[in-house]
Amino acid sequence: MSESLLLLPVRGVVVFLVALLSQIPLLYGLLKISAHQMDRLGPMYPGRFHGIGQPIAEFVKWIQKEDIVPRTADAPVFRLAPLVALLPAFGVFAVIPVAPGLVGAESELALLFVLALSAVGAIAVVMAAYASQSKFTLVGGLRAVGQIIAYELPLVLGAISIAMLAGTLSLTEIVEAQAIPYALWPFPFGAIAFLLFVLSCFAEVLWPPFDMPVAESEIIAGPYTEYSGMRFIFFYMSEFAHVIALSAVGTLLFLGGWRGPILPPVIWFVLKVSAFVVFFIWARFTLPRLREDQLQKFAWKLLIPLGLVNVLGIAVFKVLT
Amino acid sequence: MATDLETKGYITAITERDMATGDMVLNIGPQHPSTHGVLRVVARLDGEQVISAEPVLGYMHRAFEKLAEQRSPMQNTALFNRLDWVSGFCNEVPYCIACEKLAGIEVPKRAQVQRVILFELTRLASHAMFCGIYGLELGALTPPMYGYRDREYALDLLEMCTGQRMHTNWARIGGVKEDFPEGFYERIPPILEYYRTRIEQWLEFLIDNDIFVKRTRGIGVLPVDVALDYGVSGPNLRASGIAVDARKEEEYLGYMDYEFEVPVGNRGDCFDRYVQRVREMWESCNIIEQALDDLPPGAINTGVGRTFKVPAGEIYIRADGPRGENGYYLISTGAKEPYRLKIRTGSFSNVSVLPYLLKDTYLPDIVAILGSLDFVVGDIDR
Amino acid sequence: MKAPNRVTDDSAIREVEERQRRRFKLPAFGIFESMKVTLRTMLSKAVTVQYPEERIELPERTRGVIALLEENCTVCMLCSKDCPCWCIYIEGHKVQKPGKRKPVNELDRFAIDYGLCMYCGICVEVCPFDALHWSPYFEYNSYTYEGMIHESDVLQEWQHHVLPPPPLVADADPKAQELQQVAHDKRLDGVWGVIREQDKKDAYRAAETAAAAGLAPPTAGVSSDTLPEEAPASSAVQAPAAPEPATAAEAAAPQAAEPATTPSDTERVSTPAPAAPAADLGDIPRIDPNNLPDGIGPVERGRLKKLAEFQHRGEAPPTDPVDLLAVLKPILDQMRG
Repeated sequence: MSESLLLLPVRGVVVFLVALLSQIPLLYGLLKISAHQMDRLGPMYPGRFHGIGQPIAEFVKWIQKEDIVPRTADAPVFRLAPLVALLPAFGVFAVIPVAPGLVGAESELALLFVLALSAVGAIAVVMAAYASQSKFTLVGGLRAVGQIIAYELPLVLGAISIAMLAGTLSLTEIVEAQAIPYALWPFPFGAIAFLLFVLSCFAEVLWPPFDMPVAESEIIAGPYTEYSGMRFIFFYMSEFAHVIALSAVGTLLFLGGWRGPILPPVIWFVLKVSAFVVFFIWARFTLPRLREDQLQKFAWKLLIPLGLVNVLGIAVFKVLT
Repeated sequence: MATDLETKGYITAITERDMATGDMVLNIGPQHPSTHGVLRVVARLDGEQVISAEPVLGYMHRAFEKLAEQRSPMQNTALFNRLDWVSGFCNEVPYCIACEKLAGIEVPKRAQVQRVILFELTRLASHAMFCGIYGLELGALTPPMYGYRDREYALDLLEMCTGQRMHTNWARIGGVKEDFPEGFYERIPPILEYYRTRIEQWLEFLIDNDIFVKRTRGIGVLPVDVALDYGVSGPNLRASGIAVDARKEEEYLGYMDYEFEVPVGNRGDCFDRYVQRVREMWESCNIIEQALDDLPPGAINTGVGRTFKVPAGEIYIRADGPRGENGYYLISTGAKEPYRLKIRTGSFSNVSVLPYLLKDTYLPDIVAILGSLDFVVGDIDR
Repeated sequence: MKAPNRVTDDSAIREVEERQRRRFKLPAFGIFESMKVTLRTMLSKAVTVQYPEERIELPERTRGVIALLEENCTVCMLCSKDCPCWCIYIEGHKVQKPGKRKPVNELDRFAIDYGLCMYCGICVEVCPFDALHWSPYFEYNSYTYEGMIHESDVLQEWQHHVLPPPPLVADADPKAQELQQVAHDKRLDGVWGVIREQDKKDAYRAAETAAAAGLAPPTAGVSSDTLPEEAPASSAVQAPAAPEPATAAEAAAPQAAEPATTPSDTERVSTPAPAAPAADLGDIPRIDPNNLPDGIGPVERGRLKKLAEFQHRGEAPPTDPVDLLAVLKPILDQMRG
């Protein structure tokens, strides 16, 4: 007992570092993959070898920018919003098992914890939007909160389907229950749940095709317009952390986590998460964005009924087998 | 309130009273990533719905018409490149034609054909960029890079011939400046081939994309009579369903000798305008090919000198540019400089239809519609 | 306004819509089409050219920086007047040359402000004396506005970057092609081949001196060749007056006061007029640029003058882009023997 208490801060720091440092390859991968999609090269100079030092360069650049708080903004809320966005995103990493036994905090309610924390991001966006006291941020913030709330449900429904199939909310046990990844079997319930989860992931992190709140061509940067420097980057770090966290949860739930022949579990996990992330980046840079009412209709009229039907189907499946 | 109660019922009336929102005036622009320059759209929004929107023009007014009054023809040619800078050469040509018609100068056939080739190359470059940029308006981050990359090939050809990519300053009164350099003919067919395959890819990339269709079908529908009332021209008008093309109607640059279709849309929405420009790229490729076959040997300039004075008279010349119809109304009193030169640009009339188009749309649709009109603010404000 | 009756042909859009209708049997498959396109691009080589390590070879006509051939400039101010941006600053003064009726222009300052220049090319086009040339060089930038004003010494440096104009297509006007070919050959050696106004003036003066001193006039080829088709150029050369060897020496004094001209010019002027070439330098005959043999084309004349320049400096003639001695060998042999 005392041993685990002593290890607690160590675990915390390790989880924090993992959450932070995993964004470096993500950022680099994003820059390079998006660049090659656009038929260009991306960063090449920083770090000498094909721009490998670019994420660090970006961090240094952002950290030395001026910290501007608009005069009419609500300063305490304005300052607090990035933290409210960042910390839950980092918190999710605490319960993600990378390999059997290799987890920040083993919990039987890991899935619930993850889903709950992902939803806290919505508050941060609204805080940012309203505190900035600007029309563009207001529009962006309203869109964001509507979108996040709307897409929470398909996310939860997709995750719940898997929880029902595995019979547990613990992420480790869900992986162990997957002899065949849930995305493939049972068909179509697993596949539908996978689809719901993936689409909701895009919407939760406000990425195209669901990036109406941050629509750069209309409202500049949506709720983050008035931010600059580190605060701005906190939002984007929370976004990236969310991407990695949700990809990790997605592999655990649907792709079999660390299971795979020959290679050690950690390697499989990393490979699968990377595949997920690459898919996200690929789709992010290709697709135009859906209009706000279109994406709301898509969520409420298509995804949520589909999710409910899926849950029903899984219930029937479970009863029959 | 009483009438509301009667007509709508108590609960609806109370709900509407409690949930009523006020209007918000949102200034889109003048500095904005999406307004193609410094265009300001003052939008009255009710939440996400646009109640009214009107463009405020003039942020880029550079007084071209006044400047033109103090410049000789060759200087004016250099100036008009900057009107619609995306398609520079297309602005020089109608002015030169106007001066030539007034002076009764016969332009050699070879010069006409060279003008056609460069004009259509510029149109290809402009439309290629539009096809890409429009994806950016809608949120896809990759298409603009493709658009710029495709544009590069046409610009390379222009640079090879004229020395400059955008502000070519190549048309002269009496023809063009110089003949093609060696190797120009060989470079064109592969580039046309490239553009044709790229058109196929645009069809795959954006036009087949469900999200693109959802964002642009039925958005910004411009009926033909409204378009004609506002003076919309160019691909916007043709997408509304009517084949008005100055290339077919005015006899200039020998366009009547070439066989090309004037593609036409049928609904006049943003989607049709996009496909319209893709189809026009195809037709431009056809025209360039025919022009290359048609190139007769001969001089490329009648050799009008530096001290040429445009004879007195007035004339209006219109040409079909990528943005719309470019018209130059030239009043000359026999001096080098025009007495008055009124420039009628396509973008100005195209943008004037915005209040009509933007009524009762959503905020994201504003950007989609602005993008589909394909204007350049330099062209609007001159 | 009612739409007039015009032929509407929407077959093209019908075709596209037909295609789409066929495709949309399965919803959302269009999205995968888009992603396929980007995947294809992702997996192919990027088109980026990594400047400055890699550079694109620019075509010859590319308009970069303008080079000045100061010797040719007669301060006619045509470029300055026609520049739409008024970015050419020319200052000159009139100098009364002894023995001439009218004063002659002398260039004090020729500067182009590249912060204002719009690269329209009007100045290059209107210059009647071939003093301005385009070059594709574009990497001149500065941290200050003043640095963007290139004075004449900098402008002359850009001469090294001037490329010969490309030959025209095969079916261009034959006369234009000919002129183009001549211009191309001239500039293959750099702008040296362009006829220099100073040489023309010197030759004319030399001819007058020789005629007045009663010597045999220099070979007819000189006068007819040094005053070529450029009619405006000859207007700059003044009516003959009573020349004397002293005149040539006095003429040398204001020349020496001229800033930034190559010292070889002044010294060439101060050499006495007689046409007989001096002793051989090595086995290359001494070339007097004022008295070139007749019957040579303009390209060879330019090359001979270039060789004379190097002879005068006592340096070895250059071998690139053209090996001067090699190409001039037949003529040199002719001159020797």
